[in-house]
Amino acid sequence: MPLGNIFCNSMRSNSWLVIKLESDVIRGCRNIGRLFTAILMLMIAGCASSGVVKNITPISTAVFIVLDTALVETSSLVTDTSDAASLLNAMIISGLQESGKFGHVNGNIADASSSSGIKIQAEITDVFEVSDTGRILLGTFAGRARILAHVTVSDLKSGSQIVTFEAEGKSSAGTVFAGTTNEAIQRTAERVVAEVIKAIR
Amino acid sequence: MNLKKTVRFLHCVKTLLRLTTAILPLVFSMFLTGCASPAQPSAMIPTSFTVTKHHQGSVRVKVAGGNETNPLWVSDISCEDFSTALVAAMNRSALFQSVAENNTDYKLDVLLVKVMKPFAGFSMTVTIVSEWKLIRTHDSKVTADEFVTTDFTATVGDAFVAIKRVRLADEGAARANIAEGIRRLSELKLEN
Repeated sequence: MPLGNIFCNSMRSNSWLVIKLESDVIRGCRNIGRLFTAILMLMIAGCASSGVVKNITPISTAVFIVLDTALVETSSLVTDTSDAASLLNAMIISGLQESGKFGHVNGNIADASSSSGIKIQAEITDVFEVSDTGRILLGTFAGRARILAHVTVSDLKSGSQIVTFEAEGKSSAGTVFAGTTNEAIQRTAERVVAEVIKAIR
Repeated sequence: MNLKKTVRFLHCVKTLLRLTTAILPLVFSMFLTGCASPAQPSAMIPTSFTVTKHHQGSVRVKVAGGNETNPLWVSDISCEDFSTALVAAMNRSALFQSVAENNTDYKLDVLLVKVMKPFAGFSMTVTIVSEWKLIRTHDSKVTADEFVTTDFTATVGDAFVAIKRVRLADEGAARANIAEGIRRLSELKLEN
């Protein structure tokens, strides 16, 4: 083979190698860009946790509200959610105690039965649970934890209804860093406390 | 000669890109994880207290509901560590005349109902819900049953490594919880 041909073939194969390497480099840059975008999306995207109150009945003006005691009782209609119910109960009591609006706030009917005040009954009617493990494994696909509670506020002695409403708490969502059921419980408790304080004003 | 240099350069760039693609997730996961250490008792003692009223008598402290830290998971608060911090805080605040282990006038039962913490994130907020029950010893009367919810947020500025951030948030939330619990107890009107 003449020397010129060998040189030409070598140049041709080298050019092909350069083109291939260039396309590899471009592909590599694109991959890194995608990875950065994914990480960035993972960190900044998503939606915040929220709490809402729905189906509020008009506040009864017929009942004279005494603020000596507030008795909080929480139950759940959903199976295997007793932990959620007890945490919701603790957080409602905590919020009402912190508000300083009542003489005593407790969750023990025996302590409150002889007192005057109000009774807050929260009944969990719907739960969409997102556990820590679920959030870690599924990230955004684990969804948004949700707690729906039907709340009845009544007079402790007479049992006359003061107000009823539904409080809903949702966790943040959209990323692996988003909240879980605990966050939804927290938001629900905040809404219940805010609505009870509004009702006794 | 130039062609050879270009080929060698592109080879280098390609290798570098491959390495970066492989290392980046590792760096990211290192940023998120690490070896977890428990919340330190000394860091859970509040620096200042709001005490409305100092009470007569002695008190003993019992803490329940804490968890030991799993080094492969996240930082947690153990009963012993919270109790150590609480006893130190009770002594410093002088809420009661003395804190003892036996023959006391009151018994303070603190239950860590829930320690809520994030798995990951830049700003990490830990929320502690605790129940503080003060019982008069001679007749077992519950003189106070307070639910205390406090939180603390640790940022990247506080600690770059996520696992340390969780610990700092744990300690901060516990500090706030102890301070608020003592404040609430100091507002009680105890019959001596």
